[in-house]
Amino acid sequence: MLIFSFFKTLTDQVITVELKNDLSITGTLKSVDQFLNIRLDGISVEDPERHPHMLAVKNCFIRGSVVRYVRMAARSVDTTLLEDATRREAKEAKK
Amino acid sequence: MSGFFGFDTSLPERGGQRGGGGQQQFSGFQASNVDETFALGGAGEEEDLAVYTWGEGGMGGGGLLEGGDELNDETFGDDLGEISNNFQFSSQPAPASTAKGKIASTQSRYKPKPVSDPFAFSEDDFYSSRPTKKTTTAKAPSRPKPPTAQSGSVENLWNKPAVSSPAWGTAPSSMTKPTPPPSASYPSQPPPGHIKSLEEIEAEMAQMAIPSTSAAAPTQQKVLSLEEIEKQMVEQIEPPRQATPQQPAPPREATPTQVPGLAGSGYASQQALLDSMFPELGKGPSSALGGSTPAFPPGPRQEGQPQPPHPPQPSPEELARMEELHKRITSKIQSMAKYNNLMGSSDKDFITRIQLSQLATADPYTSDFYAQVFSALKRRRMIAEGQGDGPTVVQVGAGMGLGVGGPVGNRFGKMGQNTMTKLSTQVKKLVENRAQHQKVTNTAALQGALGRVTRGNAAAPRPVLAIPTSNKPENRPASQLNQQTGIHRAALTKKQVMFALEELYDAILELEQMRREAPPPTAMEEIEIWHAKCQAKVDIIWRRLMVMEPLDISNPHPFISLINPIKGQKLFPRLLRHLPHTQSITLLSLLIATYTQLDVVSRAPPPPVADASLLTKADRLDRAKREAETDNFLQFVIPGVDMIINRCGLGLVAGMLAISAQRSEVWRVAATRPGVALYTALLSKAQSLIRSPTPDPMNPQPNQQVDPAELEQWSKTFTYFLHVLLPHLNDLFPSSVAQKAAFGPGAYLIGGDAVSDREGQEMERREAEVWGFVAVLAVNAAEEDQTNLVAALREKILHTVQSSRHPNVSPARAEMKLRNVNMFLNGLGLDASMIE
Repeated sequence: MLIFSFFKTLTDQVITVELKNDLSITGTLKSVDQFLNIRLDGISVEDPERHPHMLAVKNCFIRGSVVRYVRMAARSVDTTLLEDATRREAKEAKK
Repeated sequence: MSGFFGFDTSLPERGGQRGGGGQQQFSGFQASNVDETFALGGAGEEEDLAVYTWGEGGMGGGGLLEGGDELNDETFGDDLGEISNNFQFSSQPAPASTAKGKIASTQSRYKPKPVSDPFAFSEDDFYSSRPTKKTTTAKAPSRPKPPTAQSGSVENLWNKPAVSSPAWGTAPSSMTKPTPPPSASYPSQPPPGHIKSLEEIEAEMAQMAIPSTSAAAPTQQKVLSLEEIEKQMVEQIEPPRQATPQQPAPPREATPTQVPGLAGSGYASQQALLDSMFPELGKGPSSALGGSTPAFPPGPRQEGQPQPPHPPQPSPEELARMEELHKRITSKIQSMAKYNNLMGSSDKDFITRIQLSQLATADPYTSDFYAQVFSALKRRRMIAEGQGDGPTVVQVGAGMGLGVGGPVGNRFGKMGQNTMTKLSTQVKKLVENRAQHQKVTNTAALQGALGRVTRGNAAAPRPVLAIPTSNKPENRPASQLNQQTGIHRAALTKKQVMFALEELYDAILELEQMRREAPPPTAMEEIEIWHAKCQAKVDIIWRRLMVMEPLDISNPHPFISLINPIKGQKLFPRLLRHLPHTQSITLLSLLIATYTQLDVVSRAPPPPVADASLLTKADRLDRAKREAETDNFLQFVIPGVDMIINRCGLGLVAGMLAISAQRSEVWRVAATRPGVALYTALLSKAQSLIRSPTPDPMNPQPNQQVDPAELEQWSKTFTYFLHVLLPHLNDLFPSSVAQKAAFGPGAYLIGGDAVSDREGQEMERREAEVWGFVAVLAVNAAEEDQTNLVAALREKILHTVQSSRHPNVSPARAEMKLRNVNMFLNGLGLDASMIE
């Protein structure tokens, strides 16, 4: 649940999702679930010439398993907190 | 309901029924409710949902609260009608029932095809099908029997088992089951010639309500085979006939969602919409529909009546009617097909709802720690900036909540507050249930008896919603490292340090969590207990810090070992926040006494070289690491040190300086950035104490006169300190050190003009730290010492001032140089501009 928890804090922020088929979509994160499925709003595609079919798409739902990377602004991540959360998670798992 | 996603997978049983005489077909025939057919069996959906919302054993079949479906329109918005109308056959009773009749009858002959899946994934189906499922489950066992009599009679009405067999008889054999001989289908049926009165028929229809629902699941399977059927049908087109003999009303009652709510609001408009979509269909069935659902339109019935005497022959009317139904179904399927791979807004909302249900956790701070704390911090920031906002955790019960995370309150769009509250009651119920369940099935007693009881295998999967029952008391010695005896021992190994640090982090996290859960200020007893618990935790942390170990127990001291890695440095400020004043003073004394053992002091980064290409790769990495450690130390530890020093009196400050001077070679320490920072803090604090006896506005004790004895002690200590330091003053400046360390051609580059401006400014910034230190030295020094100080620094001052006037030095850097020198000179009442 750690990563899920992490992504929740990114809601309503602009992120770039790179899919395993090399499609990179930038948009506002609307919601995310425990499978890390992602809902994006107001999307734009990094390379529109290669993906003309995406031109008309304004929002999308991305299945979590097809995501390769998610890029986000560094300032929206609290690294120390993330470390602490990892510790807690590890401790939970041990219990 | 048994079967996979609501499909009846029990083929043998069906075969038996078929052999028993075809009633099954007819039960399917009537029972078919379009919404069931298309909704794919509520059971499938229900099971899915159960998984998502942890509806496990404890919950029972329909454990989830699911009331108030009438408000769905409100909750999900009215755009529901735009796209999903096409899927919502439940709202169109009459055409549905007719269509269904057909499907069912064909269906019983074809093998199940689960392809109709997509339909059920619309939210509407989800809702409408749920209650249906309940009734179905309840009545499922009775399914085989009841249909016999009634279906037989209905069939009488429609009188066409025989009709159907020629009609469908040509269907691909691969998909068909053998059609039962028509004669076998109605054993208990009245003689063919018998004509029923309308009342009789209606009575039978009413009876059929129950069995029809139960037969829904099997019927739905055939939907897909329609296309083939349709092809065949097209060949036999006959004039359509108005006939919707079945009365849909009774079955409806079994599915509460459909009746009152829909009829009132959305139903009419949806009906209109459908009519406009299928105008040709609108005439017939919908008229029956719109009215008081007459059991039989008079005209067709007249025609139909004569037929019962010849059951085996398909009447043209029957064929026509069936064909019409099929056309309608096909057109519906086609019109839906274009949305096949698209998600409507209601689908998205449905997923959002699932997502929302994922947010429910046993302890929002445990499974959702990051989001919770992150948003708490963010909220604090926002409040500090004067923006308000809503809560982040929706408390469901004690220690149970929904972690909403982000700062935006209602970000689930149309899934508003309404859904949220509904969901939270559901979760509450789930949690209570689970807690009870866990109490019963507590395996703790068996722990160890059969070896390790593993959690989570196929037989006993790990529960999705696990509520922590108890926390194991910590029964390991407070510090394993303390168990060793002897005055001297080896320093902690790196691994030991890392383990110790992790334990510290754990303890700190727990402590911080405790602080967060402070009881309300009114509950006095709870507060006391809470304080005691926190104190106990602090004690544990204190012991784990190993500050109280003898000073010389090892080199480096265990505490220093802890604070050497960056990880430990980061812990330092968080630690100080919880330590009481006396303990932090102790800690600081230890730190100062063992300052030379710090990596950042003993292995301070070497002076920069002019040409980094002269270094090996390992060398470069090592330098980078040491620089990083120093930077981190200055960033994390020094502020804490400053804070503690600021709380000290002059006597303590003098004592600390004495310790440092005693236990270390101060010029070595002062040649490092952490050393400079430490001494600067000590000296400036002392100075501010001496200058203004009541410096602390927060602590307005009227006369905090400096104790003359303390003053005496301070000046003695300082004088000693200064004299030790004086001969080495020039070596404190990084530029001088770099100059000295340089050799070969580098010596000409360093400090010269070749150095890039950026590096030069960085160098000036570091010089500034030292200039600041000597400035504090000057301020503290007695007059004759000040002269000594200036004499010692004379060359440095002159060199700096001159180089600032050099034409090759960038204006920015020149200005920094001057400012640095002035920092020192101004303390003595001088200025760089006086120097020629």
